[in-house]
Amino acid sequence: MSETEPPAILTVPAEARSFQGERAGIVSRVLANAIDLAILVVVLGAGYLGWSAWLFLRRGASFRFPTVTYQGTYIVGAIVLTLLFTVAWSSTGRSYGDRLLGLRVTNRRGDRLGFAAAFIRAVLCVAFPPLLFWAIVDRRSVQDLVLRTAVIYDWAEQPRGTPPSDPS
Amino acid sequence: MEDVSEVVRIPIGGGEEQPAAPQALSPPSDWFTLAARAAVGLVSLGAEASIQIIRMASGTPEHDQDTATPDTAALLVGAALGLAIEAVRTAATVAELGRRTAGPPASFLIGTVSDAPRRAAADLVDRWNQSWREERPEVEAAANAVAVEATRRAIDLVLDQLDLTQLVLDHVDIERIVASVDLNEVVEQLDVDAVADRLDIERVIARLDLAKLSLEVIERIDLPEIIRTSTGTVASESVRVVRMQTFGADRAISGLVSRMLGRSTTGEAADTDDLDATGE
Repeated sequence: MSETEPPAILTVPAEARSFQGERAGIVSRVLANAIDLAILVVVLGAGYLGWSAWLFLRRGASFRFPTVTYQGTYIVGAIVLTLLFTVAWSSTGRSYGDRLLGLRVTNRRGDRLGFAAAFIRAVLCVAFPPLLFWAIVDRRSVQDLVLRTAVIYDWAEQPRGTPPSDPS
Repeated sequence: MEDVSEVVRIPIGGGEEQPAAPQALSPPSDWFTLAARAAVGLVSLGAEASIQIIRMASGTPEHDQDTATPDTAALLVGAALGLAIEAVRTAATVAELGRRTAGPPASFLIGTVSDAPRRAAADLVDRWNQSWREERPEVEAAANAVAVEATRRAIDLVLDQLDLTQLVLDHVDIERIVASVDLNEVVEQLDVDAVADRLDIERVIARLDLAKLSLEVIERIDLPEIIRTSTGTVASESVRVVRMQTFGADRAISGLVSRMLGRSTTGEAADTDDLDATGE
């Protein structure tokens, strides 16, 4: 370490340092996805209310709440979830569920995913959710095997391999 | 006495008055000539000293060694001394000639006539010698004491006239001396603990600007960023509990699956081997 480089201080709590960087297990990943799904439901509900309010403003007295079909909800939900995952994994490497559970999605070098890789992984995860459960056997879902990605325990706030701050 | 002709005489002032320098003469032919030269040399020294004292007393400026011309007194003294040397040399030559001519018959006559007085003189010399040997330790001790005291006073007198510190600063290459000292060896011989015990740490700390130092440290390690990231990491105790519980559940399921599949449960770390940058 050079003299000009500030000392690196590990901000991971002591109890989590022993497994920091290991692949996450199925329970953590399912819980994280459940939280993400709950957020998706909230987002969809908010979107539905917003859309209804817009229709109410447009139609006035003839306003009726729009009818929502299962197929339409699934398609819109899938698109929204894919966008949420893509933005989250390519920006911070973690969705909100991952953040709460202390997880991070990385590529095979341990770095953050690029936008294209994040989008492909999001499409595969949304289209084929049951493939996640291969992580019970291998701690890697089928999507991880195909894209050579990983979900790891990472309680640090900053992405792995980067200093807490850049003084330059 | 043979070394007298080898003595290098240091001029004491006055410039060119070099009276009858002994080194310019031929080697002494006998004791008489040598003694005569020594006497003339002493007279010369005395004369030069006298001239110097007279100059100092009369306030006459001292001549420069290279450019000044000798004054009248120095010239006369030099001339007189030179004349004395020449006279001594001539007398020595005449005496040597006479000794060679009249030496043998005279020595025979003297040896014959003076035998009894010579023996008496030898006895007298023996008695004197014996007396000298008996008193020699006391005399030498007294002489040593006098010499030591005189030397000490002379050195004190000289040192009082010198600024030794300035002399050392002007003529001694202190950096060269320091460079030749093996400071590492000196430091190894130091008892640093004893030095540290003598330090008044409280006074040292009192001189420090601790507030400024603390600010520099905080700025250097970017403490606000650390606090921010740490707070984000451990935002809530309940979140940490949930994370640890899910991690325990992950471990339990992995262990169960590993036992069902007959795998070693200790190989979990190997799961991350293909991650090139998992070294936390």
